[in-house]
Amino acid sequence: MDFLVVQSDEQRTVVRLTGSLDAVAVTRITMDFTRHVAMHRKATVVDLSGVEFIASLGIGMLVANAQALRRHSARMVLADPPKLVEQTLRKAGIDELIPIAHGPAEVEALLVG
Amino acid sequence: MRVVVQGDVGGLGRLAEAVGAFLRAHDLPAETSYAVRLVAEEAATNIVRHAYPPGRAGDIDFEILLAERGVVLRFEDEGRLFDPTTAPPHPPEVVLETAQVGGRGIPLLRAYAESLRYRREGRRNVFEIVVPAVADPRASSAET
Repeated sequence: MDFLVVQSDEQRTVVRLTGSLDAVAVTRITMDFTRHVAMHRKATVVDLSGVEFIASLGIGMLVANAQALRRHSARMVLADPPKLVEQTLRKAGIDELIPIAHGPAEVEALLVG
Repeated sequence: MRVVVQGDVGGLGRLAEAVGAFLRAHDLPAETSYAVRLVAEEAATNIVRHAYPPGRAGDIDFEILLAERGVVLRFEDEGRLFDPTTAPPHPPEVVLETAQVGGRGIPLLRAYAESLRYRREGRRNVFEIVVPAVADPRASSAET
């Protein structure tokens, strides 16, 4: 699992996750992810296009960071998850809590709400 | 295929490697492979997080095989009694602020598995999961 900050400025944070978001990966990246997402308190796009697998601990990491952003009136959008990853997010009910977007226009629309 | 791993994060990694090796050795549909990875991860994570006291990780005896009814995953541990099949359902959540951060592992197990069976054998938890050859049994009624 790789974690990359693509953009971080006054308006927003864009981060890209790549690989498997499983228990081992979450243990390794949670602190770094939280430092760049929740603690920035900006609207955040999490690019999931390179994620091939996500498990419940990975979902929990996303929910915890989205909650922290919400406390500061900032939104998180999950962008472009592959089909199987999106199925997992939807089976877990995450689409009810954090919007899932496909393509830049949808990301933009959901981010500004 | 059978492996015994330590019930800690390192053990989860080794168990995932074993599952990966099993999946590479069998020509399963992508959705089935994904479902197998997911249920293996969730079941093993449950053992690591709930079966053993912190700092006293025991073993996870894991077996995976391809049978007529699908991919069978069997987990055994000597942790405290924990029956995942009787865990209460995760409540529906529509409000992010009050949503639980965790608690989605067993619901995902239920969503991806065809059957979950638990029994206590002496001091051992025995948990068996079957993932059908087609990942979602509700998506196909034909058994081949």
